[in-house]
This record gives sequence, C-alpha cells and structure tokens, in this order.
Amino acid sequence: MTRAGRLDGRIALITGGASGLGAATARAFVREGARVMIADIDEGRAAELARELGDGAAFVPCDHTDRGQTEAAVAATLAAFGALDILHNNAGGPFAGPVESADDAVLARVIGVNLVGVFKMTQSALPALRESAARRPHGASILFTSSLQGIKARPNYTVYTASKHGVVGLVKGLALELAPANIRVNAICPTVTETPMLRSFLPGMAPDMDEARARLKATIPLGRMPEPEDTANAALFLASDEARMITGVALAVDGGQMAG
Amino acid sequence: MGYPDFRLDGQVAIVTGGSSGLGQAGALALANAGADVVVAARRLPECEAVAEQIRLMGRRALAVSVDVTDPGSTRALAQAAEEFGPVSILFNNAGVISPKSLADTSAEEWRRTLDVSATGTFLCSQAVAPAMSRRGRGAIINMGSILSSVGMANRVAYATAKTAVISITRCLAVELGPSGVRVNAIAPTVIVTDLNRKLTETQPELYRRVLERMPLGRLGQTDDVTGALVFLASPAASFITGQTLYVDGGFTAG
Repeated sequence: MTRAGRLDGRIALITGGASGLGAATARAFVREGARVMIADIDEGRAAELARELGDGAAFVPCDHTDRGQTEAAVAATLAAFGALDILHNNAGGPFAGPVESADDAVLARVIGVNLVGVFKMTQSALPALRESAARRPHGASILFTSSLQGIKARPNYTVYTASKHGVVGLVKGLALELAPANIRVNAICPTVTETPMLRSFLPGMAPDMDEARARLKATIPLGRMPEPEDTANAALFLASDEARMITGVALAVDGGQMAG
Repeated sequence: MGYPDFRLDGQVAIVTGGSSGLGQAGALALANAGADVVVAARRLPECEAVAEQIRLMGRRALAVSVDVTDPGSTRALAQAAEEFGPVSILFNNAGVISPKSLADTSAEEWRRTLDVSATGTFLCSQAVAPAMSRRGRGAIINMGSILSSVGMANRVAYATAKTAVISITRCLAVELGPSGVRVNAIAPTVIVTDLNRKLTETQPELYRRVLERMPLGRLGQTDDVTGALVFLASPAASFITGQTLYVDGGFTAG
C-alpha cells in the first residue's frame, strides 16, 4: 500500500542533522517524502546518514556560525534538489555550570552557536525560502530546536537558558515578519533527550549520570525521558500542511514538565 | 522500528459539542485518522447526522445526547461510550459564546458561559479519565482560544472560561501524567464555521480587528484546526502533555 507522505515533494535543510534530534528528524522527513540536506560539522557522520537514507538525502559540511558556510549549505541544497522549502535550525551547543564558570570563550561559543549562528543560517536561507513560498504550492517554513530552557530556567544552565530564550524571541519576531510572505516559523522546545548531547547536559543536575537521570525523570509527569523521535514527530507536524495556521509558537515536548 | 505514527486506528474518541462547527469537523477528522467516534451534544438528531457521516466513512459511530454541565449526564455519556468501546480520546469541545460587554453580561450569562466551557471540560474529564487511567492510555484535548492568552472587549465571560480551560489542562496533565493520560489544549483564532460564516460575509467589520491582527492575513477554517487535534490525539504526540497549542496564524506571537 502506498501512502501519501506528509512532506511529499518538500526539500529540507537540517543543521546538526547528523546525530541526535537532527538525525531523527532527517529520518522522519525522508520517511514522509521529503528530500533532506544534512548539514553538520561532523562530515563523516553526515555522509554516513546520507548513505543510509539513500536518494532522499545528501550532506554538506557546515559550521553554521560561519556565514560563508551557511551560504554554501543553501547553495548545496539548491544544487542538489533545486529548491528549499523547510529550514530546520537544529544545531546547538550545551553548557552546564555556574554563572561564574562561563568565561568569555564560553559566552562566545554558547551565544554564537545557539543564537548568532541560527540567525545567520536563517538570513542565508531567506532568499530561497521566499522563492519557495511565492512559487511552490506548499509554501515554506522554518523550524528551530529551542529547548525547555527556551521557556523556563534551571540553575546552572543560565547561559544556555538565555541563548535558548533568545531563539524563542527570534521565532516570534520572524513569524510576524515573514507571515506576509507565507513563511511559517515555529520552535520545538524539548526537555533533555537521550542524545549524544545528554552527556554534556546532565552533570549540571547531579555528579552521577544515573542519579541525574533519575532526578530528571522525577520531574516529568509522564515518568520517562523523551526519545529523539518524540521531537522529530513534532517537527514533522509543524512542517506539514496540517500546521498551516500555526506560526510563532514554542511547542514544548516535555512530558508535562512545563505544566507543573 | 516501531516508529510512532499519526494514525488513530482502533481508538475510540468522544467529541463533545460534536454536532456542528469545530466539533463536527473534529469528529470527522478523528474518524478519518482511523478512530471510532462517540458524537455527543445536546441535540440528538444533529449528533445522529454526524454519526451517520462517520459510518459512511467506514468507521463506527455512536450519537449521545449530553448536557456537559450536569454530572449525571456526563457520567451517562462516559458509560455509554465505554459500552461502545474503550475510550482513549476525549475532545472537550463544547462551548458557548456570549459576545457582550461588561455592562450587558448578566450574571446568568456569565455563569452559563463558564459552566459549559470550564465546568463541562472538568465534568467530562472527571467522568472519562478513570477508565483511561486504568488502561494506562488516553489523550484529552481541550478547546481553548486565543482569548486564553489575550484580552478582548466584549468577551469577558468567554475569555475567562477559555482561560480556565487552560488551567484545567495544566492541572490534569500533571495529575494524570503518571497514569499515562496526556492532556493538551488547542487554542484557535476566529474560525469560520456554519455558525458565523454569514456574519463574516454580511458584517465583516465584526471581524476586521481580528483580521488586521492576523499575521497570516486570514481567518481560520475548520481544517486549519483539525490537524492539531489529530496530532495531539495521536501516538506522534506521546511525549506532549500540558501544552496549549495556538492555531492562530501568529496572533499571540505579536
């Protein structure tokens, strides 16, 4: 039985697309009919995932804090697939530690990766996204992977929290600015998920990883940690036509943490 | 690899206010995603008409008359629904609007507006959630509004009722989460339905101010909202609870 995919005919660019939430989203997008450009600083893993996904995917090395590389990632997408309909600003970087431990290098890295870089990536993609929104039947959209720390705070994550709150501000501003062009802009705010980034994240909560996991779980009403697929499904929904009236939202994928 | 999907095959849904407007659209969308549906509203013949549409789609359907403000009636609804099938989805959609100013809203209208939206959501959840909790599976979707987040002149009763619905959503998400029941809300902008279509055409000035503040530049259609309903009901949203998903074309972002 063939089934129409939610993203049939769409072309997506996913930063940080080679691992964790980005890889889960790339798999979900391809499964639902999209073609995906996997942009990642880890070229080897990006190439490996592109091979796994076959004709539906390609890869480009990309450090999204470098404007030359964000421009090149968009150019590579247009060269491979001919258009760009969905930009998923997923790449980000963690930091856990008390406020005094965030030296200038940490500040530059965390704000640079989580906020300035995604801004540059968005600017580089806008001409192609505007073209898609104007000429292609399904319009264009931008997704951001923010974080639960994009809408609430946690001690020892203050710099990270500030950067991810910044992303939600970016989403609201872009949503208003780009709505007339019919480009929707939304954020997904996952709680700490079982990904490679987890190892850098949990020590902020407890010295022992298992203890940190247990403490985290105790704060989640649904009583489990999320899987990358939970976030990928939210991204899939927000990028699809079913969300055509949804723009400017920050959707928490958090098992109820925000509610309580 | 067991990837969760957006389908609702084998699930049983209750839709209150299911005889018209967004409730009817929601009932049809849930059925289209594979669910069997209990269509509940005050007027049985209208519920039966929607149920018949669902049967024509190849799904099972049951029409039930309910007064969501009466605990006896909501218990009877839950019981009839359980006899029809194991309920795993509840769409608390019933609501009334009284578009009046502070001066013109009577105490009775105030109470009635809060009673249908807030008390109705509370009573239906209270009646239906225990069986969901016992089975360790359920999704409750409540109907909020952009007025759950912003104020508007001549909507004091409605906005208060819709804000209460969000509070119910958060509390029940925390309370029912450990037993596997998720609770979320959808909060749409003005949606054009059979109830207000004529008004939007003959008295566009009523909607002009909303439209001017709509970044996407149009009012909503029922199909704009049903995607969010099906998503939140489905296994694809299995880690999302306590959320209010605004389906508002950017209205509340600015």
